[in-house]
Parts: sequence; C-alpha cells; structure tokens
Amino acid sequence: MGKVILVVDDSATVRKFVSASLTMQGFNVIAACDGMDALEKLPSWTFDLVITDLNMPNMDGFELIRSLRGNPQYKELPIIILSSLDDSTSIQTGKGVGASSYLMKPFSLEKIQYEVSKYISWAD
Amino acid sequence: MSPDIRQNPSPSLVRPPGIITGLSSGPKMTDAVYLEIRAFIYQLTGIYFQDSKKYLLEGRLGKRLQILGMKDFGEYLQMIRYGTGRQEEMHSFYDAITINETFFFRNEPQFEAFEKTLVPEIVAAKRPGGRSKLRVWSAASSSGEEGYTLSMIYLERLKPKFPLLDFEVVGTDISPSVVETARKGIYREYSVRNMPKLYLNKYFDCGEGRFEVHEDVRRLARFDHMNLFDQRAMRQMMGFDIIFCANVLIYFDNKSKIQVVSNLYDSLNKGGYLFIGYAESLHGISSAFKLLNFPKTVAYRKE
Repeated sequence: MGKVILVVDDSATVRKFVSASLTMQGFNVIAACDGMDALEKLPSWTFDLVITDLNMPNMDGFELIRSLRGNPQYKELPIIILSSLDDSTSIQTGKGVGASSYLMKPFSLEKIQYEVSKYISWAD
Repeated sequence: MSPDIRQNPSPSLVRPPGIITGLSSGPKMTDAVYLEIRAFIYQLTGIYFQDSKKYLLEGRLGKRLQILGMKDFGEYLQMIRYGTGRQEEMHSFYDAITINETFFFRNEPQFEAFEKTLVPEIVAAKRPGGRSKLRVWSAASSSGEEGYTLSMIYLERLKPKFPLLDFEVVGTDISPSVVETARKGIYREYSVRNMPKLYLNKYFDCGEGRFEVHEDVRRLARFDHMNLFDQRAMRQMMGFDIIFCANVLIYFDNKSKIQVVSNLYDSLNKGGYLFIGYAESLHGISSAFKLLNFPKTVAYRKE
C-alpha cells in the first residue's frame, strides 16, 4: 500500500486539501476529525507519519500526541503539528508532549510536502 | 495543485515558465477576480494559491463556467458565494481545485472487507440456507466504476460461494452527465488501469482503447440521478445492506452532513454497513453507527 499518513483536523476542507496534496505525491492518506477519531482508526493501518491540528473537539492534538507517545509502538512515529495557535506556550507544549515539528496555519501545501519529506519518502 | 502562502501577495499575476498566455480557448479570468476567488478559497480552507497558479484555476473553473453557461468568472464567484445553487456547486468547485478521480477497484481494502467479512455476515443473518437478496447502494456512483466493480465481485467471488444469493447495486449521482456515462458502461484505459487482468478479460469487451462492460455485469446495476440532500428522493432509498458513499460528505457543512448521514442510516437495514472516504469521518456527525476496524479500512455498522 505504500506509505500511509494520518491527517487529523476538525476542518473537513483542510483534511480534503492536505489529503489531495499528499495523495498527489504518492502517499496514502487516512483522515480523522479529532483525536478520538484518530485513535479509533489506528488499529486498521500502520501509519508512517501523523499530521495533527491542536484545537479539536472530543480530544485535542496535545492529548492525541501524549496518547500516541505513551504507546511504545508510536514512540518513533513522526508527528507534525499543523495549528493556528502561534503562541510560545502552545509551541512549547507541542514539543513537550513529543511532536516532531510544528507548522503554523495558514499554510502552504508545499510547506507541508517539504516537512513530510524530511521524515518519509513515498518511494521508500 | 500546489498553492503557496504569501502574506503580502504581489498584485501582478504571472504564469510560470512554459505556460503561454492566449493559447487556451476557455474563458479568461481577470486578475481582480482571481484575487477574490483566491481569498474565497483561503477563507474556506486556510490555503493560499500563489500568483503563478492563476492558469490552474482558470483552466479548471473555466470548464464549470462552460457547463453552467456563464459568461465570466465574476458571475461564477457570485454564485458560489451567494447563489441558490451554491450548495450543489460547491461539490464541483472542490473537485475542480483538487484531484478527483475514479477507477475500477479503487479503495480495494473496502472491497476486501465487503467480500470477505460483511457479505458472509449479512447473508448468515438474512435467511440461512434460503434464497435472499443483497442490496448495495453506490451513493456517489460517478461514472459507474464502483457499481460495476461490486457487480463483478458478486459474479466472480460471491455467487459461487452463495448460489442462493441475488444481488442488486443501485448507483446514484448528483451529476446527470456522469449517470449517463455509467449507464453506457464504456470506459477508457485510465479507468481500468487498476483492474485485475482476470476481471478485464472476463467481464469486458476490449478494443482500441475502449472497454465495454458485459451485459451480465450491467444488468445487476442501475444508475439514477439523485441529490443526497433531497429529502423526498432519499425516502425512496430503503432496505439497503451496504452503502458506499465516498468523498461526498466532505462537501456538506456540518448541519447538512448530519441530515445526509441520518438519511443514509434510515436507508440501511439493521446490521447494514456504511463505507465513507478515507478523508472523511462520522465522528461528531452520528453516534448511531458503530465503527469497525478492518485491514486498511474502517466500516460503520447500523446497530
């Protein structure tokens, strides 16, 4: 199936655009609309990278990352935060819970593609 | 598509090297309208199309203008902002600016779960040992590839295993033109590129880049024009065992999504299943379904 990326964002349009962009690059993209949804979908796939928003209902991005990092299986999984929160507390908290990168919204798809390419390549 | 973000975009819009102005026969987009459409997309998605991508929007949205019989992009922008057909056009609008493709045996993990787990379970619950009918709805059938894929899986894999099982697939789509294509059942090489050779040889007449679905596959499927947001039409769609509805919910706002999913729920038999697209989710939309994990896919069961 190739490399699989999980995109977690409560905005359907962001999910759609990020998915379209990464799919064009040859990745398989699965989307979830919040942390809880992401955790429910985990058993079906082996993910190679996660891109997550922070502000989401039910379970926010921080809690999702904490939960993933608490599982030895996901200790090394690259996790990119994609959020409109630009304050230093959020950025510090993101790094503190174990995010690999922090990208701000508004964003460009090229910036996401570049950030993803730091961790995985579709051709691997 | 590769939009870029700039905080202070230059008002001068340029084409990238290699794109020659004036050759395209489609309608032209003024710079002013491009800035407005770009702002509209940005507002909706947080994504910014850079100056050099004007040709991309011009080409893709230009096709929409021709279909809708509009004379310029300003009129189109008015319509997607405030027009009465806004909700319906948003579907095509997003399609135009993202990639939308369909082909046979797309979303294979869903077909695997369908064939290996869901159908055997549904058949066992229906009439063990007796004749029964499996009804499947391809709720965003586009040009019919999904519907015919399901028909072929029935003929090839399910019928031999369940000889007393009858099968029907109903495909619906909001676009009358793709429904027509589905009814014809004639495809180009692009649509069949992912198809196992066995199916291609057995269920298609092939010749000169043209692939025509056999009659025994076609008669299991029927295709109709339908809007999933049309309450009256939705009430006619009853008694389905499995619904495939990929990449549709994404075009509705939350309120409409809740209504559409509630209608899909009503259309399913108890114990029936709903598949949605990989970029979609029912979380926060409906708690009436139970999410089940399968290898490389999930399905939602009506409890």
